[in-house]
Amino acid sequence: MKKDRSISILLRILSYSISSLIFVFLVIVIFDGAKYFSTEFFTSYPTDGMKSGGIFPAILGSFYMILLSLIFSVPLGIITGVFLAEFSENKLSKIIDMSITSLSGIPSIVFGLFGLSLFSITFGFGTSLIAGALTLSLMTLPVISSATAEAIRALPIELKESAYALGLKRNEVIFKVILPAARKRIITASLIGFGRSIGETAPILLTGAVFYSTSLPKNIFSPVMTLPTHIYYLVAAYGESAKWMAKGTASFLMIFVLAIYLITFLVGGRRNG
Amino acid sequence: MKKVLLLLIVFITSFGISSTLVIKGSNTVFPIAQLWIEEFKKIHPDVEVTLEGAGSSTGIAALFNGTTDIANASRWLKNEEIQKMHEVGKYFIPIVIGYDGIAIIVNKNLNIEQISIETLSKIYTGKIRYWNQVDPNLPKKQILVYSRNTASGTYETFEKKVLNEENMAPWVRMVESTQFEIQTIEQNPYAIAYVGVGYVTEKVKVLKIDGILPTKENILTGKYPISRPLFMFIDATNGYPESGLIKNYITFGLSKRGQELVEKAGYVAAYGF
Repeated sequence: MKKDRSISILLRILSYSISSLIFVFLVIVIFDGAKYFSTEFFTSYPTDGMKSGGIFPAILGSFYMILLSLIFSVPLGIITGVFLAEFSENKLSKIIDMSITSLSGIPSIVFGLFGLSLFSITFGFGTSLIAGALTLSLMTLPVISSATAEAIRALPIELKESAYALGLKRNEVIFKVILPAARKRIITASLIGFGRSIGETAPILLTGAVFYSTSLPKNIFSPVMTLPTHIYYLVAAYGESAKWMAKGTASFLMIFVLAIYLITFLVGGRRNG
Repeated sequence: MKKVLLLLIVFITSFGISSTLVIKGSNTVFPIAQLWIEEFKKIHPDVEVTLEGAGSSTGIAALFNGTTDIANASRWLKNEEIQKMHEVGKYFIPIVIGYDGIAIIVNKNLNIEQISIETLSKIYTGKIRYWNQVDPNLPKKQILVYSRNTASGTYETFEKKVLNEENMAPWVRMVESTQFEIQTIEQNPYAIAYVGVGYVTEKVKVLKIDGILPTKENILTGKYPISRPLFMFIDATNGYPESGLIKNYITFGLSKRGQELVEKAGYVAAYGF
């Protein structure tokens, strides 16, 4: 009994210290930057050699980039997930499963270089919203598809069997029974993909993001400023005078990602959904 | 799904070509280019300009494949690049826009005022490892040597002007950003690093090289040994642009106002001294 108690105390201390570490990290990043927040910071362009102004074009650019990438990755990811879960006896499915798993282990800069050579140069998109979004969607694809597959596999087998017993065809079972049943977890997966890709720097650094632009993106072929690359360039190319903006941007990005994850937890709260 | 498709169609149909000036290249030239663009935009409100980074080599490569109008560079052309120009029949011309000195910095509390190029080279190549070998009055402490990573133009200049074609010692720490170097020097009494003069803050000490401080005069007259010109390269295969966007931008950059902005960005103006 005594041993049990000491182990439980030990584990408790460990888990508390780890979560407090994360907490301290978040608080430092957020509060260090939040003091620079103002209406101007969120609504104006950076000016005066990054000494004043705001990050409005970067916020908007990040948003466009992620939305566009979700347009590609969510449908594709769900379809792939369904295929993996429902057609798992298929040989092709095993190959896809393996590729998805290895895809998620590829370093993000490799995605960036791949996107640069395929979308920007071969397809001729140049540095543009679409090239960046396609590269990002390649990165989020494994997240969404494996989570979808998992969600479908977790459904009770009776659900499927009774649907078949009622004489539904396979595609009817998939689209009318399985997907609606797994809807919430699929939404959760998409949101996680969203949260992951908004912080990605390397894939869009070479394909879609510019450091400074005088205009907001007009169409999917214009380059954009994004939040993570803005931080990267500020730190890489500027001195002390632009540090405040990097801090402010980091803080905003962190709050944004936290908010997305919070929504994710709220949506995915009920697992049977 | 229909909404998504509609959105996609709206995105694609809004595709149009506007007069955009694309500038790519060196992170070192970023602060100058950003200030120029901001002012340039005030004079020519209908022009759109985008600025991208990722280094001098990337900018020149982009000039070769035609994805940029102007390539910023913090170094002269490499032999391979000149050769490639001959091979593909292109002709790039350099325009000097300012000068950058590389300052050698140490902690404020370290009792040293100057250093010779030779000693510096020995420190970076690993022949000298302790401060008391530099000056017997200094403590017998190991020198913590910091350098920018090899992708940076600052590194290339330092290597060329100081190292004499010798390799850096393996324990030299290669870092991604100048800000990191400055912070380390502030906190560590026995570290040494090199940064562009524009980045120097009051919290670190700049060493004289062979008795010469990196002041404006010394950099412009070439007395200070570790300095370099900063360039814009343009494609002049079909002749020097006599009118148009590129020409206007160059003229602005070399104007009195443009050169003042070079100084504001922390570099030494090339003209009007």
